[in-house]
Amino acid sequence: MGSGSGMGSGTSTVTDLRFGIVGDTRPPNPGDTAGYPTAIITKIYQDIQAESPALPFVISTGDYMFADTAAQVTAQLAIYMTARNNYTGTQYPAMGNHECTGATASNCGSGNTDGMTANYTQFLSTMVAPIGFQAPYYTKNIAAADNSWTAKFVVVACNAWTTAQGTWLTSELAKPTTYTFVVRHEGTNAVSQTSCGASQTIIDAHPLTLLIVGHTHTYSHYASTKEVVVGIGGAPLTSGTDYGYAVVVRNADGTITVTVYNYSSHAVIDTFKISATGAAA
Amino acid sequence: MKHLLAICALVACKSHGAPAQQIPAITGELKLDGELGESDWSTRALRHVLAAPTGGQARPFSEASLLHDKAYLYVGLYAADEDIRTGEYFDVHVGALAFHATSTGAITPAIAGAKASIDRDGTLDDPSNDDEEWVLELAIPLEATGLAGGAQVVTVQRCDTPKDHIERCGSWSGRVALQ
Repeated sequence: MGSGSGMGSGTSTVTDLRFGIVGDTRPPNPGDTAGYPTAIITKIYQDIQAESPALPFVISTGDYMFADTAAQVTAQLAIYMTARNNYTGTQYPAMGNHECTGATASNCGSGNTDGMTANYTQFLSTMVAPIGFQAPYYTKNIAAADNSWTAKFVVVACNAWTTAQGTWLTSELAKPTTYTFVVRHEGTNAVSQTSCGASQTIIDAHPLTLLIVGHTHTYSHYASTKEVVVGIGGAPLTSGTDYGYAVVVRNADGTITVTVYNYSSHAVIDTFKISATGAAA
Repeated sequence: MKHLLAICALVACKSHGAPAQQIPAITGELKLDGELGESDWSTRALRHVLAAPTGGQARPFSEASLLHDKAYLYVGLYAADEDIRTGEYFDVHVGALAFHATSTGAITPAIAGAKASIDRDGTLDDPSNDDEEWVLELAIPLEATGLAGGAQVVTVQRCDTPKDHIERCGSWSGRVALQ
């Protein structure tokens, strides 16, 4: 499967809902390809590949580079994709601010303030197009083989925000599913610094199982906002949490367990259980 | 802080007998903007990630980078920080020269002829949101560092208290000389 389409863009049928979460992989400084956290992200994807039972897909929460030129973007995405290809499942990537200009407030895309940067266009061509989507925002639907549950993963692109994306987000979140996972780079603690504050208003008005975010280079779980922050994929750590990744599993009783692992020791950093409504279970 | 001084003393002593690491000369102009975006910073600089007292990479992450030209020692200091506060600083020693480089972009005590710039990704003194980092780019006159006269021990330390309210420190020390 590698970096190819794998599960692709259409509705996928699975026996169990299991997936990984990886977030925020970049060097400390702009153009710092030499400082890319290659060893860390390589080990993370090797760990994810080794998970048993296997994880059919991973969600990534954004920021795969810190680059100012097209050449730097190409070089850093190549490193990331080489690491990512240690995992044979499908990756559904969210766009981070570093896939625009690097500024948290940046807003890319045709007609937006920052336009079509190399970071943006190469992110789309390298990471999004191969899984069958054209825009940086999209929905991936998953259904149980026995039709006992459905899940949607609604991936928001805060740094390519438009009113059209807002309309799309409202429409997608209105579609009923058992589980709703919203993926966005910026968490509720950072979304006010972006152009997409409206996305939070839309999310708050609809059913939500879990908001999956990154941006902050730490791991956190905020039950009050039904939010998990996974930003420990190699970017400079802002707290005491070590690098790692998360695994999300649907239990037989319909609850969801999220477990966060240290990338080098596989020690559990944290685990929590929620219901389909996002409430603690 | 007492904790930090003890680590510093230990590391500095160990550094004295070590061969000097070379601080490369710059190949192009550095724009002091706190970005560390010039290629010399990523491809030539003497770089050290600060280590935790127990070994391994300090968390939060910090890094020190060194370059020079005929007039200045250039110091790049990177601080990952989820809650940037006034009063945070790197504690820097170059031979007998000691100063703090702060999250507000100041050098204290002031060094004649020194220049500093800062780039902050986040909001100062606002714990209600999550910050990312602050980066200092310093130009210290070589005459103030003693490096023109030969190798010196450089020590860089930083302590930070993330939102879990636990103070964590990191440091690096080494004997360095101009290349």
